[in-house]
Amino acid sequence: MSEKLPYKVADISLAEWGRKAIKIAENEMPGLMKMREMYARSKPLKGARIAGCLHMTLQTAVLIETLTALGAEVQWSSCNIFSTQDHAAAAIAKTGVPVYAWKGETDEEYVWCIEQTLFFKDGKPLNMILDDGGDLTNLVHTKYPELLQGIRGISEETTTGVHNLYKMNSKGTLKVPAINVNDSVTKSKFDNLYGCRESLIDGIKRATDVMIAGKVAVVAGYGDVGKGCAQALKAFGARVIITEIDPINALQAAMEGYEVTTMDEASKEGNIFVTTTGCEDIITGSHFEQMKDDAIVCNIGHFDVELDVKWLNANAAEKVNIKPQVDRYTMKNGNHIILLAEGRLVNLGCAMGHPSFVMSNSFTNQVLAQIELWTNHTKYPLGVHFLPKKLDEAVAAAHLDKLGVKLTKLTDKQAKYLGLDKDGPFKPDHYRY
Amino acid sequence: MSNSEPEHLTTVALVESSENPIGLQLVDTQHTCRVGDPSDLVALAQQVQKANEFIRANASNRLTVIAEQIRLLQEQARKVLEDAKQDADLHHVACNVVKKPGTIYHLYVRESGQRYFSILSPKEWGPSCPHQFLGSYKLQHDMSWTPYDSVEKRDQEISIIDKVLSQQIALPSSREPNFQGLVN
Repeated sequence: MSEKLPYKVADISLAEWGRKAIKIAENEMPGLMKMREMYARSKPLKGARIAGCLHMTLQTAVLIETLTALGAEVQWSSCNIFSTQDHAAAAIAKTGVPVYAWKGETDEEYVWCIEQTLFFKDGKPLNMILDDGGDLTNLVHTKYPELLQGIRGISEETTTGVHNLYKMNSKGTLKVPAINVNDSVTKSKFDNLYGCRESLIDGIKRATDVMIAGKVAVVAGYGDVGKGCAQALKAFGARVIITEIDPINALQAAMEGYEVTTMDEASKEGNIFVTTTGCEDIITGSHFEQMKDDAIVCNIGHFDVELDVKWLNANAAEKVNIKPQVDRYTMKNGNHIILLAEGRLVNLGCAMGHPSFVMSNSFTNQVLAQIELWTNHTKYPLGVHFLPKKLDEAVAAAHLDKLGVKLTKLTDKQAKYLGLDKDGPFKPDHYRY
Repeated sequence: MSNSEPEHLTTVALVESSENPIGLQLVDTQHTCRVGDPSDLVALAQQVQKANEFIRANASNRLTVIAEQIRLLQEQARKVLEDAKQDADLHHVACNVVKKPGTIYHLYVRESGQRYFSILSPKEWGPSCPHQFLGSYKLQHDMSWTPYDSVEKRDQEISIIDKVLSQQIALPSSREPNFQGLVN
């Protein structure tokens, strides 16, 4: 590690542009800015050397600068070879934070970038991990096990990484206490419900410019993602039909006034189809064959398994690419089907993914998880933990001022009546929001 | 003059004679036009011969220059085609990043034989460099590639041309040919 580069980004001259864009992102990330306001003086992360591996975007830039404002030393790599926003990376590198990330890394370069973040400039190794997807966690556990005993904790951002942590934990290979940020209410609700509620329509509109009002929209699945999608489509004036396998969710949908039926039925009626289930084979060949002319089909659920795109490619008479991420198939019966993002996530393929405000919620969870693991590490034995409910509430609280929300305080009498501390936590762990 | 005459034989063509030049009937054309001294004809023939040789030499000299130029042009054309082929080849090498002119890229080959461009140099990789390094190239603003060892030379050339371009306004405005810059 003798000649470690101070940073490696695609183009450092993009820093000025990146800085302007970060300024705008800051305004939309009130939770992180609140953390700076609350902790910039006390610097609870002083002494922490955080290696971060998470999409190097503008929103992440705001996270990084929040961590450094709280006293941490930070080094960064991206958790995806294509997700880095080069101007964001340049702006962060310019401030002297070692960042190793560019859009379009090879798999080998990706690992190189992560490895650059393990040792800090004075040769001291990392002592905290902030991960998204588990690659940094795995790298340290397999290739640098000697560093594990110096690491106080891991905070993990996403489902894939959390699965990996639980798997390691059950096999006994996990050597560092970890906090599952993914399943905080303030993370998953924003990702699934409020995030998709905005980005679904954004994706459909950018791809097709279709008028949603007056159309029949079919939403497969009525979980958090489905609820958000159905609500957004309804708000635009579409008549929404839901398909469900779970009687509870089906009843919820019916109570909201949606028609609930099977895909076999709905496929004959819909103009717009959205899958949100997380399961495979939701819309198959027989459904495509029954659809109306120029039906729009997209997925916002799980990767690319929900739609049988393979069947379409094999059985359509013709496939014409309209523009990137938009394909129009001519069926043998003469009807057309417009497929968005090749069946992959439409809000990522055809729109810009999550807005900064959504990321502010999950990243504020990350900041609190880092503070918690760094300052209260005795509270967290080896294993995978949730962020305490109280901190989940603190994440939400950090976003209220910016939105002009006035929160009501419990009186001592009321608190006593409910049997709660008047400052929370307000709900039992099993409460479903 | 007969066409079958071999080329190397020089024949002398004399001006046609007339029996009635400008309306005056000559008494005896044989008398008037007879070549007296046979060496006169030889002298004429020799002169024509010499002229022939000179012209041939002249033409040959000038043709040689042209031939030389053709050869040079052909050489240049070949180089242009070769460069174009190499540039095109390098542009089609696998690369995950959007390439930006003015940047140096490093060419590696994977075990599979696939070549790819990276923004990491072998030095930056350090000992863990996973693939064989083939060379570094700078992407110029005209989308051509300059091998790393010629980058400095090429940069100098470009800066000279830049200078000429920026100073063009100072060139003398003259309609007549001049040798300014060639002499002194």
